[in-house]
Amino acid sequence: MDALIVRNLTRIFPSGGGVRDVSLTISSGEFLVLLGPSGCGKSTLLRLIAGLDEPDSGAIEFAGAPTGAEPSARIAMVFQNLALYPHMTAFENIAFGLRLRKVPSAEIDRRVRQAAAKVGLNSGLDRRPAELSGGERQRVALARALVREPEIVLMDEALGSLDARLRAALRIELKILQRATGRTFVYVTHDQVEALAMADRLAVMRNGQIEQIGPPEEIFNHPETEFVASFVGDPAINFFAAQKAGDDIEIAGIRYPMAIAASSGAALRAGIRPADLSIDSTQGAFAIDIAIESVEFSGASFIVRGTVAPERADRHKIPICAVTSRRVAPGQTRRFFFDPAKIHLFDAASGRRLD
Amino acid sequence: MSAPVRSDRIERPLAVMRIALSAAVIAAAVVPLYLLAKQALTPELETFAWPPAWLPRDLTLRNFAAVFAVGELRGAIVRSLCVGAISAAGATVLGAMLAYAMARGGAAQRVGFAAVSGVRLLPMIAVAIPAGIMLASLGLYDTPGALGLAVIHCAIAIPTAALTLYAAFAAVPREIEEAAWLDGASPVRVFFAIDLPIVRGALSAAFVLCFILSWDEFGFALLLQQTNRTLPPLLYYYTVFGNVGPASALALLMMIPAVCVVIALGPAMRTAMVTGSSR
Amino acid sequence: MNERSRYLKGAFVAIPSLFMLAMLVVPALGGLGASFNHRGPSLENYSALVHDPMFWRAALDNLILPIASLALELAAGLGLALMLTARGKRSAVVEVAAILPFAIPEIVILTIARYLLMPRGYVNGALEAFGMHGAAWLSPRGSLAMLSVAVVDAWHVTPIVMLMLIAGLQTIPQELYEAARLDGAGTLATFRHVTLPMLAPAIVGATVLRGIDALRIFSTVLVLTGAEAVPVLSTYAYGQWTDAQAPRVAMAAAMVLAMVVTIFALAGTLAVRRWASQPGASQ
Repeated sequence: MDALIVRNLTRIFPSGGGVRDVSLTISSGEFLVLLGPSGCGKSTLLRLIAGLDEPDSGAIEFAGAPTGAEPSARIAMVFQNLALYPHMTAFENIAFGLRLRKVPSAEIDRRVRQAAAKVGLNSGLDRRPAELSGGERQRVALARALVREPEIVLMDEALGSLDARLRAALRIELKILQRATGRTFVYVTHDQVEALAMADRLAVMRNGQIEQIGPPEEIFNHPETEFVASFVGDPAINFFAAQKAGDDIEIAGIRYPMAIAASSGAALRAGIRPADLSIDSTQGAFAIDIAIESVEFSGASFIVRGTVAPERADRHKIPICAVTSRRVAPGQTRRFFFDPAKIHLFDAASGRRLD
Repeated sequence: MSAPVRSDRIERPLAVMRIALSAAVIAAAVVPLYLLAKQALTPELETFAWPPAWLPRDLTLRNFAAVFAVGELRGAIVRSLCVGAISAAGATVLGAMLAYAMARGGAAQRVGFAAVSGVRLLPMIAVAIPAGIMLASLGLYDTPGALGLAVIHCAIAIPTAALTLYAAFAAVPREIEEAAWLDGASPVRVFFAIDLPIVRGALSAAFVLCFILSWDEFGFALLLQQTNRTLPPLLYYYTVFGNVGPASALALLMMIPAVCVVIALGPAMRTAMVTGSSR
Repeated sequence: MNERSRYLKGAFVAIPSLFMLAMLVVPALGGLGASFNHRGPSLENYSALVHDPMFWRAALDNLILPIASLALELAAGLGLALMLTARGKRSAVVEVAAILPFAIPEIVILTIARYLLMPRGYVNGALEAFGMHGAAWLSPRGSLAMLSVAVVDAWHVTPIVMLMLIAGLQTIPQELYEAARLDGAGTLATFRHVTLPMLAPAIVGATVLRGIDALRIFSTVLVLTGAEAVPVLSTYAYGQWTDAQAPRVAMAAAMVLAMVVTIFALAGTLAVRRWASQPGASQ
């Protein structure tokens, strides 16, 4: 069942940001993540869905009925800096919306405590936001959103103000919570690690448009555009200039025997993820030499950075990055292997994927 | 840093000047107040002495008693308190409305600032005379309750209240209001339930400033309340007619609100004073 | 949502503005109309002004007095501001004492000043005690009255000017002073070449704001010396209203004052804008 349909939504700001002709269908009960760099329009889209802003053109349909100018009671939002009412206790913050709707006191009490329990807020309901910790405040904001039992919960970089460890912990809790309540969550972030971890479906946005939407694995393994390939994945994907050379493909000046469906002479971009480059020769048929400049230890693996070897006199150094489980030393030149199936090819001009 | 600077020659006389200036400032504040207090606390005969007595010889509370015994003075005190409270309350409410709209930007801000600046320019005398005629036609001229004066004071205090509250409203994060919208609150509800409680400190400050403005106001009070006077014009007449004792006692009493505020609020008052002052 | 809050914003601007308009601007406009009315539209009232030597004296005093008062306020305010922001200990006592004259209601200041300056007042008493002669500070006959009024007015208002200049001084970056010291500038030179130019916008701002108020001087003159000794436009208008029972002439005089204030305010706003946009201007 569809929870929300966005049709050709456009909202452009004088400063240049906004969304352009965006269409989107959100399924009921899914955890949708809007991912993109700042200024890509993800927050604008969220605010348009929330009814906090009016579109220039287009429509938003809410389970069959178009949303009016009123922010619907069926939508709730958690803001980036939480926006808790500073002069009210946590309890009153959560209860505010219910009080406005003249819900009887006894029921307010029950529902507030229920919502608080659901988000793991066990104490401090009688304290003001200033007296609560960052994590507790987060839970209050979440409880405030959930207590009205909305159909859609919107979150705008909601974990952004927390430290890394708390973020990671709350991320998991949020996901479990969403599964448990079965509500539709739309979550905005610029952090692709978070996006890949939490999303049922992921929409990558750029310049006011959705470049690609799909399950995280699909976005990661099968990026439709160069932008999506480079934005998702950490360390970022390696890109090289490439072109067809007869029955081969030339990547970074090195010829590999692989036939591709492209016109000769067309400028292409070949992407290889650092994790797909391995020092183990069994991991791939193709090889590339790297003159290693630095090796970063990151716990489970090493991030190797260097340049493609041998260096050509007529070309500047080509940077390359690989992730390997075995230690290598800087200053060496080592051979790395990769599977030809893991090459992502894009047309250099349009950025679109070639298959 | 170790080389002798030519400025050393001026440093010492400057330091002396500094001390002298500090002493002069303190004296300029303390001595007149002391003399006033002395006049208030000694019998009138002493005050009329020549050469003037610098130290009190006979302390008495008779002058203060006289202030509270004379009906006219009692009435004026009550009237000033009422006019001050009513006009300050009205100005705080209306000023809050104006400041809120101005803080949200756009055309409201420009119109608001224009209105506030324009009103502050009007000379009292140009407004008071026709305003008196207008109040007379409404039956509010020179009434015992001084409602007409309260209304006028309210109007002239609005700019002060608005400027004091503007910064406070501007500091309320937009998102808190948006959260309230999403919770289902109407814009009016948001103003009363969310914004006002958050700025309640500034509301008190605005109220106090407007009260003092009304309490001190002389021009409109003189012109609009001929017989049912408030304190400032009354003090003027008492001084001019030579009732030194009661006049000094009254003057001392009149100082109470403002001096309390200055001592209590200190640094905060400084900025408030700069924005709220006008003749 | 934005639409409804737009209505609220509109109402919140309209209600207070209309209230101020009705209570203050409408009467003033009524007065303007009345000033041009003498049994029908006419310039009779203004003509009466032009033919009254007292009016011209009031107009003149209304220009000289603010200049004198401003000069005193600026000098004293600057001195106090420099003193209070100088290096070394800041005394709370001095700060409170400096602000006190403004905290006290104006009528009380004027009352105190009367008792100080009257012929058998404290100032003359002190002078006699030191073997000098007292003076007729407030008398209509002497020329000291204007000076007395200017001094008392300045005394009341100097704290405000001081606060504005302190704010201006605090925007001057410390590094400028240090650079000047390294360049070998002494105290006076630093003042002339660093402090004063950087303070210029604040001084201009203070002059405009206090100038507007100084032009409208009323209670100071009325209470201290009475209108005969130092007539100004507002007391002249007041006199026409109460003593001469000529309300329309009073309005005409008031309108002249209003016009002077408006012209000064406009000129002042332009001056402030010009000065505030100068490079190196601190505001």
